[in-house]
Formats: sequence, structure tokens, C-alpha cells
Amino acid sequence: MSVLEHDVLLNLDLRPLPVKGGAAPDVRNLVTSVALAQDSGFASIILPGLSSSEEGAAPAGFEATTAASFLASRFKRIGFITPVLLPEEHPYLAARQLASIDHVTHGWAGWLLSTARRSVPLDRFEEAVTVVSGLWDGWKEGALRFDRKAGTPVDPALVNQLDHSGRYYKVQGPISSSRPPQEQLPLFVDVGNSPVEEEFAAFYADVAIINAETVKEAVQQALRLRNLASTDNRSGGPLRILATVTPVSGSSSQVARDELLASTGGKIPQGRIVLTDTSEQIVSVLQELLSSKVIDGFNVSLPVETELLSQFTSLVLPELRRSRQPVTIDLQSLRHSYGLGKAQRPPVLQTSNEVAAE
Amino acid sequence: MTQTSHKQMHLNLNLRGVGFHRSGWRHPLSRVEETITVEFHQELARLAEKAKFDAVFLADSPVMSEAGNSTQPLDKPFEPFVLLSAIAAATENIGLIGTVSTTYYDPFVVATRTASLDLLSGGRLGVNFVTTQGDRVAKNFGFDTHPDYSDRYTRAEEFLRLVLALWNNREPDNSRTVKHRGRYFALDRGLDIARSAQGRPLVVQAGASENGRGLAASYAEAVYTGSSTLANGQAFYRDVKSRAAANGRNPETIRILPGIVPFVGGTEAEALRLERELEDLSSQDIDTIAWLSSELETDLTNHDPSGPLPFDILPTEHTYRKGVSRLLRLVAWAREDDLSIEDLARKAFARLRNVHWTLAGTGEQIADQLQAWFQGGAADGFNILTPVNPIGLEGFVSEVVPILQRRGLFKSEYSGSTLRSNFGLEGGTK
Repeated sequence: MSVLEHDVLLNLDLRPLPVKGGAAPDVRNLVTSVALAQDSGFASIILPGLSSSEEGAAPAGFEATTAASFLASRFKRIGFITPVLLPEEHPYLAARQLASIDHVTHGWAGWLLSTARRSVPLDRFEEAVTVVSGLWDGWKEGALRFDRKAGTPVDPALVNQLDHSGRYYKVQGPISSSRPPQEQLPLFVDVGNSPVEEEFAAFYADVAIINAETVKEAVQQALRLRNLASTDNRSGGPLRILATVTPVSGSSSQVARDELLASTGGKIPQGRIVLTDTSEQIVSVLQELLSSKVIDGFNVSLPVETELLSQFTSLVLPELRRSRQPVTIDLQSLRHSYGLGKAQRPPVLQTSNEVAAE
Repeated sequence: MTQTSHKQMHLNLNLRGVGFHRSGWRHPLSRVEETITVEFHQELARLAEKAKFDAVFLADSPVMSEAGNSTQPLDKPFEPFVLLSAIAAATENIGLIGTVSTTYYDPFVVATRTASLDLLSGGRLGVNFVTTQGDRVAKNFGFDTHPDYSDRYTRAEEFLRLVLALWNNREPDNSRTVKHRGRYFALDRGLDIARSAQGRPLVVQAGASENGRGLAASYAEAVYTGSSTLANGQAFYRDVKSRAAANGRNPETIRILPGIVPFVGGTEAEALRLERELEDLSSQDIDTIAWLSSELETDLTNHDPSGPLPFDILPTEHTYRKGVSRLLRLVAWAREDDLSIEDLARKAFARLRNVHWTLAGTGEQIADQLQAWFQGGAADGFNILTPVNPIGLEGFVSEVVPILQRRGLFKSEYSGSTLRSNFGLEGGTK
């Protein structure tokens, strides 16, 4: 199945805004947001992961692994992205949960690592990626035989132990979920500002999410990522880059700004391009970002009130799309909808101290 | 609304797509090819909901059991809370019980995920806390061996208290934090997920050992057990209820639910034939005494297979590394039925490492037995472990449930939409 869509990738970020206070979404609010996003052609949704004790944030309301699976029966052509929080979440459990979600969604699951704003060394993220992707690859194609006559439900030669032993993790495997439909789930990486984080994202990410606060910074960071991705031995296929934006439109910039502040307890959220303006002005900034040719689309992050999302989808999005070329989107899986090509398992990491922690 | 509930039994479906008999998946009607799909599990849960089951129950251990063994079907294709979330979306009333390992999981992660599913499902979640068993699991989490028995239970209690504190310390504005510094965990944070319609998930416990019973008597609202005779079922029931009373709890607030494996047939002969068929399929190509040796962590291959178990060299509760309930069950089984090593090995193996009460018969006969246990003080209800799916569940639902309902022993309608209301436990939220 495929659809004709306009050339801009969209992800809805349902993680709580990084401002204290604000309301928590309820079940109806969650379902309405997902429906709005799917109906207006968003490719995916980032669900709230475990809250990190290091950051002040609005209440999450839900947790990603349970919400993704709960929503999956209802929404069949949008991806569900689960953040994995290190070091709290163990890669064995993460691999199993994510593989299960990929089975439940029939290939519409992704995962997210936030390297920004955490005091976790980068080599720990690298090792977690190695373990998780290795566990998914432990089940080879054709391992499930279901041969009643011979009494062999599985072919043990096609179910491999991982036997990983590294600096942070020692994991035998295999997991008890069979090969995920997408084989390797797309990895989203929330990129901070440091060069090592950019290297990590350029090497491992399928989709990099930029958290710059101005158009100029966002374009510069996207350029750096593109350069790193072309010179580096990148592990996967094409790199998709989304800029995080908080677009709130109003009859004037003052009205729009007041509307945003009313839902955030008077604070402007950081780590994104905040656009409070008329819809025409917002469209023109988004076009400017896309015209750089290094940014593929947007990670849209808004306060919980669904009216703000519906303003964006009804006022801003149609206008933005009018300026873009139509392209065909393949709706077989999340990988397909992002045009990521065939899954590749990242190279096995040789544990070393090369990558210094920030 | 609830006054009838303790006169009526509770039924949980222990949901495992491939069934609980070792060879269940090989049966021509097993639909084993669909057991890796979420839709198959949703279908079974809906069937159980139509029959007014109280809950579906997912046992679990974070390990691929018997990896490398080609005769073992994939029995846990989904992580339990991911699967329960998908079942929540496909059902309305049936409760959802999933298992967590207190030995290998993080209490904050568990409290968050379970609070989320409890809220999404409208207050239908129960969490079964187990200490997990076996060295293979340990190797997935950076350890060479499974921790000692007493260590496991000290950790389990701290874990459970912490999860309860996180669940309970939620204000309407979700801003309360739990400060804790203990032997295993340190925490200074709170949940940012609202309370569900039932307040918090129910606490379920499984494990028949001394410490397991102690934990159940202090915290559990439902206990899943492996009693296999009416007499030991009654003894277990009395023991846990009196321990609860000694802790100052009302014994009526704990539901004790032994597992049963029912082979249901239109006639008794038909039921027995199905059981025999599966037993024959399972012991064909396996050295069952070697298997029992590994189960009992004792080399039995040098002993006379037709002689009794060497009871004096078997491990004790404190030295056994797997689930202590299983050790106790196997030893009791050998003693009570006076079984030789080879007979115990064959019978225990055929029932899929499964030390539950197996019964075969017509719907009427099975209902009679359940009634005897229920009214004889051995059970508040049962965990149903169907040997083959979907026919095992279909048979139980069409042959046994209507008889229980006719006798007034089982509900014909749900009285509410939370697990707590299904279990008739609305009184005690804390």
C-alpha cells in the first residue's frame, strides 16, 4: 500500500515539554492527538518514555511501550517510537519490548535514544545499540518451522546466542521474541550540541532529531551531520533529519505567544525552534528550513491541548504542503514510510575508550 | 453487587498460545502457526471475556527457555505488558495480569509501565511479582548465577514495597516523590501518571516456598499456586489465610487460585484419549530421566530407574536454584503417589514442567471437581492452563463454564469494569 503525499516528513513528539507544570494528557487526549496526526499524514509519533529524574518536565501521563501497543490496533499507518532511557533500562529488556511492539504493530515500531542532557557516557549508548540490534538479529529468517510431524517447532541452528561481553553489559541471549517484522527497528536519536553526540547520530541514527533553537543553528547542525554521515562509515542507509519545532499560530504574533504561554505556565520551552506567529509567517520559516535541502522535515512538539495540534494540521500544514513536490510514500512499514531502505545491523562494537564521555 | 462474589469462584485464563501441554502445539487443531500473532492472543482473550473470566494471566521469565532445544515451541513470543496492552485495546471487562521479575527488573521502570497500562485499560491490571529462577536468566543480565534464595526474597520485598509506594503516593497533581535508600535500591522521584479507576494495580504473587508464602500473606491480593491434590490444596489455603490473619489482614481479601490443566471431552473416554495422545507424542525422543536430573539438580542416571527417588541427596529450599515450588511439588508428587524415578520422569515431563493439577473428563465431571475444591476450602477460584489452543479453551468455555454458571458457582455477568471489581476486592485500595 502506498499514498501520494507531499515531500515533508513529520513526527509528532508527545513527550512532555521541558517546562515544569502544565496538565497531563488523558486517554481521550492521547487518542485524539494520534488520530489527528495519522489523518494529516504524520509518519510517526514519539511517545513519552520514562521520566528522567535529571530534568524538570510536564507530567508524561503515559509510558511508551504500553501506549504504543494499546494504540496499535486502532492506528495502522503511523509509527510508534519508544524512547529507551539509559542507564535505567536494560538492553535485554528493551530489545524484547521493542521486538514485541514491532510484532504488535506489524512493522511500525521505532526506538529513540536521547544523548542530549544526560550524564551518560556515549560509549554506553553505543554498546546498548550493539546489544539491542544483535539480539534482534539472533533470530534468523526461517527459524520458526512449526513442523508437527517431526516435533520441531523451531530450528535451533537459526536461533543464536549473542554472548556479548563489553564494558557496561554482559548479555547471553537470545530473546524469546522472534525476528521483528522490520528486522532492525529504525533508530531515532535526539541530538545535543556536542561533537561526539553528532558523530554518534551521524553513524547510528536512521532519523536524527535536531534540538537547535534558531533556523541558522538548525541548518548548520544538519549540515555538520550530513558531512559526518557522508565521510564516516555510516552503519545504515540514508540519514533523515528532523528539526524540532513548536509552532503556535494566531491572528498576530502576540496572540500566538500568549496562547503558548497560557499552556506552559508562562515559560518558553527550550531545545526547539519556537514559532509563535501568524500561520503565513510560520509556513515561511518552515519553508526556509526545508529549502536548505539538509532538513527533511519536522519533529512537532506542542503543549497537550489538542486544539494547538489541530490548528497546526488545519492552518499551517496544507499551506506548507502546497509548496512541496508530491512523492509516493510506501506504507508497508515505518522503515518504508521514512524511505530508509533495507535494514542493516550496525557493526559489532569493539569496546574501547576511544569515545570520551562528555 | 459484591456480596455474592465470595460465594462465586474466580477464573483466570493462563494465556499461552502454544498451550500448556508439552506437545499441545503438535495437535492437528492447535493453530500453532498463529501463536506468534497478537491477533490470536486477542481472540483467545475475547473468548475468555465472553465466558466472563476474571482475568487473563501471563506467566513470564526474561529468558528464552531451553534455547537450542528444537522440540520446544516459542512459548513467550511477546513481552507480557506489551501483549496485555494490545489485549486491553481489544477487550472491555476482563482483567489483565502480567508477571515481573523482582530479581532482574528496576522498580521505578515497573511502577511506571504498570501504572500506564492500568490507566489505559481503565483499571484492569494486576501485577504478579516473582523472583524468577535459573542461571540462564542471570546470564542475560550480566551475572553468572542466579542469586541465592534468601537474597532473592529480601530484594523482592524491598522491590514490592517500593512499587507500592510509587503507586500509592500519587496526588491528583502527580507531584509527590518517593524518597528511598535501601539495601538494593535508591530513589528520589515520583510517578507522573494518574491513578486508574481501580486506584492502583492489584498485587498478585506466585510461589509456594516459605518466603513466597510470607510475601503473599503480607502483600498479595491474589495468589497463583500449584497445588495438585485436594489435601495439599487445603493445607496451602489454610496456611496463607492464617498467615494473612496473623499480619492483621482480613483473610477474605486474598484470592487463592490454584492452576489446573483441564482436558475436556464430550465423554470421559474422549477426554482421556486427548490426554493420552499428547503424552505419547511428548516422550518419544527424549531421555526423561536426564531431564528430571536437571529439574532436581541431582544426577539420577546412576540410580535404579524403577526405584524410588534418592530423597536424602536432593537439594533443599535453600540450595535449589530454580523455583522452590517446583522442587516441593516434584518431591511431594513422588512421595504421595509412590512413584519410581522413571514414572515420575515420564509423567512430570509429559505435563510440560508443569506441576499443576491435571484433570480429564466431561464438563460435568470437571465442574464437580472444581466445586469440591472451591467448597472444600482449597481454592477461591482457578487459573485455567489450557493444554492446547484454541480447542482447550473452547472446550472449557462451552462445556464447563455453563455448568458452573447454572450451579450459581460462577458469574454470568461482570459486576464492574475493573480487575478489583471482578475479584470483589473494592474495599481495600491501600
